[in-house]
Amino acid sequence: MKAFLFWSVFTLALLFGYSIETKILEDIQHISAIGYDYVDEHRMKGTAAAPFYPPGVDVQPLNAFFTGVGHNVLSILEKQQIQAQRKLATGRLQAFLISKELAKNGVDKLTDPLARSTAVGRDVHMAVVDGSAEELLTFTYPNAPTSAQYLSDFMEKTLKDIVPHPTTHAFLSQYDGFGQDPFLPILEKKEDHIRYKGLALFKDDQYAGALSNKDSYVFKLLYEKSKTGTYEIRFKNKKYISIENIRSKTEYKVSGSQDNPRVAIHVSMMGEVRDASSVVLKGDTLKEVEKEWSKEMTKRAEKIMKKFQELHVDPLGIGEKVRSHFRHFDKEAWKDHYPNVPVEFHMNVRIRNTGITE
Amino acid sequence: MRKKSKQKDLAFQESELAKLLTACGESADFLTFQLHENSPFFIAYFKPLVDPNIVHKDILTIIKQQEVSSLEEIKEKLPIEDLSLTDNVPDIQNKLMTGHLLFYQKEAQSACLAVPAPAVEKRQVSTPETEYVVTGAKEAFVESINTNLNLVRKRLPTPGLRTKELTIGKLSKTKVIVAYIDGVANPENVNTVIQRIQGIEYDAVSDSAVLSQMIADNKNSPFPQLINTELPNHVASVLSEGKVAIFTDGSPFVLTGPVSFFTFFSTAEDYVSIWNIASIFRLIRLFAIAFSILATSTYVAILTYHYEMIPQDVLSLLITSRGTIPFPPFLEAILLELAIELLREAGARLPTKIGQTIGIVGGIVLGTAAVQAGLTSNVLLIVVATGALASFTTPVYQVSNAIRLIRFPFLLFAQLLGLVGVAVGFAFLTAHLLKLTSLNHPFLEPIYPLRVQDFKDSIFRLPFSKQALRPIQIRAENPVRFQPETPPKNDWDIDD
Amino acid sequence: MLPLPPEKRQVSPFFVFYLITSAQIGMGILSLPRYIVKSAGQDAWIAIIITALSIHVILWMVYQILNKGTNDITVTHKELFGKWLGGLLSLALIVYLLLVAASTLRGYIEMIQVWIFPQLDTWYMALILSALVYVYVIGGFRVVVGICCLSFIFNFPLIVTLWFPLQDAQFSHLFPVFDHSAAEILSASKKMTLYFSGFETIFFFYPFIKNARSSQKWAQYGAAFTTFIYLAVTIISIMYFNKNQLIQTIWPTITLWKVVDFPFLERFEYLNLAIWLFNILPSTCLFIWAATRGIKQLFTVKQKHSLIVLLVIISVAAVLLKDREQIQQLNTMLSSVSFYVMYAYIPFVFFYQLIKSKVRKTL
Repeated sequence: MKAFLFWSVFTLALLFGYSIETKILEDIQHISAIGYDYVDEHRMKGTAAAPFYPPGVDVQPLNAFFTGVGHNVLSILEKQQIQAQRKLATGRLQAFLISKELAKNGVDKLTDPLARSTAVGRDVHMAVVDGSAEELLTFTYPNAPTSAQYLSDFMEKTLKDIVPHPTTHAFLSQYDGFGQDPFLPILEKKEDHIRYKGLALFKDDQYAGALSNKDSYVFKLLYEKSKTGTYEIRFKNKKYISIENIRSKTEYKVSGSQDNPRVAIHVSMMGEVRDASSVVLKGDTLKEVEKEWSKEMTKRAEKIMKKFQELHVDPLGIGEKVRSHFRHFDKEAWKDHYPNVPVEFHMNVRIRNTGITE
Repeated sequence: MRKKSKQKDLAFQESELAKLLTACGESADFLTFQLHENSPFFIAYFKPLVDPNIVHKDILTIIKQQEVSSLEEIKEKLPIEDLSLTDNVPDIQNKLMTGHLLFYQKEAQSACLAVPAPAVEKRQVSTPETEYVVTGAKEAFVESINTNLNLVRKRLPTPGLRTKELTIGKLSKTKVIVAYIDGVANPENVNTVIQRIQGIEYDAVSDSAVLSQMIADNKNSPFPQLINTELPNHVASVLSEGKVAIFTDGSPFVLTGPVSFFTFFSTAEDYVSIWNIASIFRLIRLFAIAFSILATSTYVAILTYHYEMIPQDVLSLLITSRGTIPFPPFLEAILLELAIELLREAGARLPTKIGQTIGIVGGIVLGTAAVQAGLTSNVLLIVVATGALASFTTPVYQVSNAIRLIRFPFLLFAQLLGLVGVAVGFAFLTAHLLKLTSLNHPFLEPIYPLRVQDFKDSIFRLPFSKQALRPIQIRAENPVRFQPETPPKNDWDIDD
Repeated sequence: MLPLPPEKRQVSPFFVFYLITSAQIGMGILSLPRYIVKSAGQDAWIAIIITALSIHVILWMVYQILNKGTNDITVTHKELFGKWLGGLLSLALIVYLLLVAASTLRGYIEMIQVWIFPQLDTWYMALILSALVYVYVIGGFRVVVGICCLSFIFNFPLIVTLWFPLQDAQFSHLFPVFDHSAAEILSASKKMTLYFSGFETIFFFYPFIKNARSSQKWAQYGAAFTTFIYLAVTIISIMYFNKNQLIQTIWPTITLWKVVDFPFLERFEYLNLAIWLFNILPSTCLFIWAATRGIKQLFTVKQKHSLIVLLVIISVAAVLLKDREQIQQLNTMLSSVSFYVMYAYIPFVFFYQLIKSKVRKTL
């Protein structure tokens, strides 16, 4: 009897003490992409793409955009909320865009809520927009029902092969830490498509420069082991040969002393010839192609590296590699060292096959 | 002379036997008559309880042909076993009620001869109804306890198979037989069972399921602590494991115990299949039960509180499917669960053929209509239907009922606290299972207490060659089933 | 002093493994990497190993103390220090266990409030959790051991899902090794002690172990397993986060689970926080059980009565801790208390007992 009384009181307390607000899936408008543009030094303009699903079976989502101008992300969200028909939520955010102009002025105030929020995931794709983020988001593209869907597909499926992981976690970790500077892909709206343009390089939280889209393939090769990418080289007599990456790996070797470190980057790739019109690939020719590839890639890598050092940016994380090599590392001194550190490249390719023809 | 007999009558009427006979005489189906005129012998019996063939052919014809002067004489003359001369009135009453014919003399007061002539009405041994097996023996128990014992004894022809007979219920006088194999079963288990059965204070015990509830360790638990089966095969195999079986007269189900939680997932089929297949099916059943308990509540929890967990591709699917639904997920789930319960109840109460039709028609028509009307989402319909289906994968019917009941508190917890609520519900369930015992043996064995040796025939079913030892849980008196052969030295080579 | 528990209430020695691990691993592991990386950087794992080694020694001392005694610690206290002083020491130990239990419960509630339900009332969750603890502890020691053992299985997904952050890990974060001074590493080691606390409950459940002497092996294995889990979590956190980021993140372990990504479910921190219930529940049950047992030994109060009182006290304490600041204060206080319990109190009792028995022998 006592037990029965206790459990009854317990159940009643549970039922009536209930004070949690529900977040029912369809009562929420999910922001799937969000973009920020520069307004003036203190304010920015946020555009949230939160597709609305009208009731019914077999319906297509409607494009819905909410914009607001404010000082920080949350105040903008509030302004967006007062236009939206349902509660806006960021838990399913897929893409986070920053306009180039805003990036030039620093992205610090954008990243803090990303790092602090429990709702936003760590794998939101980030990108810099050349032009207006609002325009890129609000345009109706012919190849997807909503721009948000196009964007998230594009970043998840296409960009993944071109750029190393452009997620918030990578960005935050590079931005917060020592020894590496963040980088993000640059997108632009070209006619009625979204197009990848290159790699934006950041110095601290500010946009500092860009790599062309062709260089970013080389960058990926240098940055991490990969299984994608096509590299075109010019062979004798202006013949062009395309080699596809089957798999590649990269290794950083640090030597020398702390005051005078030397870095060597070894890249070895296993490739497959995919396009070699009017070149017969056999024995020696193949060796020549391999040599030519390595020569050309080294040249390009050195060019990229030179650019990094001139801009004082370190997206490859050479600082981190050097730090992990020396005990009691002097971080301040490294900043002065960096532009003058000699970096060597050893690019090797082994062509495994040439497709189904010789 | 006449006066004398009248006096005799008077004396007789005051005896205990006469009172019994008068009480019985109130019933229309009770017969009492004089053997023939001037005969000192009277005959009394309940007409529906005796077999008229025996009465007429074997008893009356013989007695009427010969002159008999005393009950002893009748006893000698009758070609029937197990006759008893007694003057113990309660005993006589028992005999009367179990299909005996009573010879009595008014002179001898209470002394009388009971001749067994019971009418045996029984169903033919047929195929199992609830525990259907595809391969394996297809005999099932019937309502007659002797037939049931016969079915088991046939499979275990050993004098070691001991039976203890008990009678319970002041009114029903139900015959209960506790069977075990001497030298294998732990006597403590047998004693526990006998003591608990003797302790029953209830007037009419009508079925083994009723008995099972009365001798359960925890009478409030939705989980059965003794498993009933209708397969003689199964009973024979658990007896040989060292368990105890309880036969109840009038019930086609035999109780077996002690059991553990994992017994719920083993079917008779498992022992017929190859061990690896059987093991995988057991794991599937285990998974199905977990799914059945958790699926709907997890769905409600995620849709109500944790939308962040849904991947993008699934998200749009769920939103569109829930777009038109006017209820929150909790209410929607409760409604659907109740609808499924309704279908199941209706299907179970109706005759088989109509029941099946109702099930199919109800399921398809209602389901499609509900989705089209926008009352439920098709995703939830799938989840609930799969959950209902999964709950029936266990061969023990009571367990699937228990699981269907448990889902509702889980749903409530999911609505209150999301996934944390589901975890809280699961913690309560775990506490209950941890405390549960079956004939004083822990219920969650071999997980807790952890006995890796017992995994061989609980979560998995390893090959018979690995089953040399009986499960530790039962604490069999003789734990060894057979002496395993010592494996030959491992010095073989290819093509030797 | 109570008689030794009957055999049917005892458990096999190898369960001590589960008891020790589940008592040790509690809320701490969620924030552990942050605190030790703060002072020892990438060498934090060395700090864990140093603390773990000392814990093994202390565990050995605990067993020496208990093996020489006849029952649990309250009896040993009485034998060594007399009725009053010994009783006082036992009481202090009980209060300490209760504080750890309260801090664990409040920590879990706070976690849910921060990560899942900001509106959740503290009393609401405290009520549910104390009802759960009641349901387990009322079943006796065997049931408490049962939940310790089962939670081991339930917590499996927590460890498996650490695979996902490992994919983004950078090995270079771990190097160079020994980049920090001994003082820095030792200060991190000192911070670690609270995370290893909980094995003190063995003082109370020792008589409940069959062949208790032989269970030391399992206790040591348990402590070693805890170390292994701490090492795994810390090393993965160091590799996944940048050092600055790791120091800023309050619960790095939960953030690690944010990247889990299955095609049918993502963002496992919500699921894992729910499963975390099975991490705090066994330890809380064990602490509360030990406290009721101790009270029974000291004051001969029935355990089923003191259990209700203790749960009320703990729930009230949990409700009274209002914000992060106060929880943090309690934890800091407990951290230093547990440091003294482990490195001052236990060795003191050990040596006192040793000397006393030596003196007795020579007399």
